[in-house]
Amino acid sequence: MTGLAAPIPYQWQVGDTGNAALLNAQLYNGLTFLLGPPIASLYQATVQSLLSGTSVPITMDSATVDSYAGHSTTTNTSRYTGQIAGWYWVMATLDFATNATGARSASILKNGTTTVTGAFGSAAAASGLYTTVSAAGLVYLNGSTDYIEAYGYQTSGAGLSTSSVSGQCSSLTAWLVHV
Amino acid sequence: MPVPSTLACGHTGCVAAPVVQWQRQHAVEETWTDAVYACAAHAVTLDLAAMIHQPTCPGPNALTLPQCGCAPAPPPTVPLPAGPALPTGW
Repeated sequence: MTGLAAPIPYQWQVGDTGNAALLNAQLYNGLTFLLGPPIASLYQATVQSLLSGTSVPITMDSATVDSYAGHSTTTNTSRYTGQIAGWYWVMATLDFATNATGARSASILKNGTTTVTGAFGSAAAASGLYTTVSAAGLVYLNGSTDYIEAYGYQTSGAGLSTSSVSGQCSSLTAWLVHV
Repeated sequence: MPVPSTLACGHTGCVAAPVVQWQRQHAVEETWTDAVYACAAHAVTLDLAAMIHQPTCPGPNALTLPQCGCAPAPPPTVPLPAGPALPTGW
């Protein structure tokens, strides 16, 4: 079951008696939420071009799972919007096409402005090799308007695309770990 | 990961699987973008694909490819921060 609100644990008092409705509300729903918290695993099946020297959001056109519908594959496809308020563990892995010049980076931004985490990587040591850069961290999302995006950056000196080869591609993962 | 069957080339009548994508401004909300997918035969150039296109961009109409004829938004001008200077030897 998905779509449950974050549980507010009930503190039992002396004299409380249980019945099905109360136990469902106070135990069943909470445990169900904890066993199935919001998770999303998004990926990019079709590649995207990045200008040199410009940090741009990486679009995620596909989802392996998006249990609380925080992502769209048609509009604002780079975004994951938390549907439940809380702290999310987020991770971005970006794959860049083969190129041996300049730097690469992956970062995660909240609402397009605040950097949550990021990492730099080097271009491949030789042409013919791909470059992968990952970044991960914890971010608080308010459950309504806050969203995260993976940003890619490259300085090859010309346009460079992401890569998607044999199922290996850029991805963005989000997991509610604390409310 | 496979290309989901729900994704299709945006050129009318083309049934080929998309291999590239770019973004177009949403027709109503200017701060939103819509994804545009294209097969290899109906893609714009690499440089054009890196920018946000107008809501009325004709791509991927085969008559306008590999250019699209619209004036894409200029790229963002804010690069990543340079970061702290490292000590000598690093």
